Amino acid sequence: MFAVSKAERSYLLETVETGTRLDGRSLYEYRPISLQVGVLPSASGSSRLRLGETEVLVGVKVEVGETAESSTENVHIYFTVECSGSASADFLGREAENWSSELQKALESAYSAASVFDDERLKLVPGKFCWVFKVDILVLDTGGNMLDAIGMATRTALSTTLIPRVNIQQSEGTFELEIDDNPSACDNLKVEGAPIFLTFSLIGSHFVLDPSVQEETCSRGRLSVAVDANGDICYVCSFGLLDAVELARLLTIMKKTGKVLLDRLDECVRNGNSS
Amino acid sequence: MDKQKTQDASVFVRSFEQQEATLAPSVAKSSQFVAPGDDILSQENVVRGHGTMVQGTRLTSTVAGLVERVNKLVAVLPIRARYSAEVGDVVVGRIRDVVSRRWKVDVNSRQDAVLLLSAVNLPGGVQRRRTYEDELKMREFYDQDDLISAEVQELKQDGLIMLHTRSLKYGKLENGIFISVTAQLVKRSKKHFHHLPCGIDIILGNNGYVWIYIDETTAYAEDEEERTFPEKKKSAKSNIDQTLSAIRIRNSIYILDLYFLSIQPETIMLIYEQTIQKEIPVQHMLRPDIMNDIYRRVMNTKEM
Repeated sequence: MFAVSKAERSYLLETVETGTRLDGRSLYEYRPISLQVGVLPSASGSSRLRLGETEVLVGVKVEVGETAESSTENVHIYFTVECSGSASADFLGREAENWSSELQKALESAYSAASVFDDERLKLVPGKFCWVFKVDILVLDTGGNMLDAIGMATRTALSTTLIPRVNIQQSEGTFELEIDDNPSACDNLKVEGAPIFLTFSLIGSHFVLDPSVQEETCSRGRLSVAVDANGDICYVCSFGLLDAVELARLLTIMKKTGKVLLDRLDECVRNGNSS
Repeated sequence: MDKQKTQDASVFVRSFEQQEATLAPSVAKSSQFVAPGDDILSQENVVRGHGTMVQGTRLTSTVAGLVERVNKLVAVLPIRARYSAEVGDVVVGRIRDVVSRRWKVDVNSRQDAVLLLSAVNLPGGVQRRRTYEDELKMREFYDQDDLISAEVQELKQDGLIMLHTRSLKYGKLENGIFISVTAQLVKRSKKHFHHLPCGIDIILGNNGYVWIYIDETTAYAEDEEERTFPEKKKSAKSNIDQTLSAIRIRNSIYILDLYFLSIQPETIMLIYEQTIQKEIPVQHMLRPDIMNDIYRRVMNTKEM
């Protein structure tokens, strides 16, 4: 557990009252983000992202799987979050499981609410075969606000994921899938609809975006929201008593910052790919 | 698009880059610098010291650091390691636990330091034997998670660090910001309590823990009674300015730590002045491109 003395806590509260934070950021500002894509050569798509002291590594594996007949989905997506015990003392023992299941749940509900994979090209055989995306997330270091870092890293990993072309041949009611051997015959996954998370901590009477560990420890409430590129909210998770009036004000900030964040991430991925 | 970019500074994304060599080139190039597993060039029959290992006939290093030779003894001093205490060091520590007649204090060392109840000044300054009542009141002096400044009184044979706070300048730390840096960057010096020209006070703990605070007592008389009851009379405006300077100092120390530069009042002020000169707002100080820029400028203007 991160330790904060009473004196530090009260100083942090006083500082946040004046509209700045202990590392100089304003209330609705992210820490600098470092991003790298294509870090795992054996994965279909991967990324490594650092948000302040928090660092995560994401790999995406693409497979063809069978699906139930009632299902109309093109893609089944599974998330696995692994909190390595060396990242934080909070992950020792069974605590890591609680963290991973919490983060997994957030990702699953956000991705199921946002219609991410509405791409016609991803269609295989409805009710018979579908794509299976396995997203493995490894938390390498913790410095607060893991959910946002994971959300961003997952989105960028998916955006660099390559999907092989598949020829479908039908003969007497059975389907034969033939995956193109040519490594260059791949399509880039479109992830315009993929959401990212924005997390706020309630400190005193103010909300702060992207809390550090110290701020998380001193907060009395938390609000995590997933927004997609349109600024639509597809997931909300809160903890503690939050003020409704304040929430309304946050809504505009969420939409604006979410949009900027998505643009910057996409831009960075584009630059990284071209160079 | 570009216009929007300059306006909204709430998000900054960049790709991972090779960070500039953080070690001064002179150190990295010297033959005395070894990495784990490197051969330490030495003559026959040497005495092996800390950070070395004999592999067959070779003497190799177990840490990354500088080779130190004293007569026949060969040791490697690590460049980044946990704090190893010496008697008389000024440290900043965090109370980990309150146990019978002693506090366990985290000082960034291999094991927690010990602060005995008999090694603190009782309120009122009376000298007497510590009673059972004092023991019950231990949490009122220093509670768990509290930050304190202290001095290393004694090193036990097994490496246990004994602290004391038996002076007015040591004790509980309040009204400030804590930052942890690499312990090796804080050099041992005569003074560890500094009053910086910008009106901020810092305690540079030898153990790499730094406390940045606004000493409200210095503005008043040095009288004992007033020292214990600092009055909060300052206007809100000056308070904000002070807080911003404190944060700027904190970020300056952070930059020094990141680029592995010695942390002294002079170097801190060098970074501080540079950011003021370039009119960099506090909130942008920790952006990688700006930090790099500051680092380059400082290295150009002055040899550090």
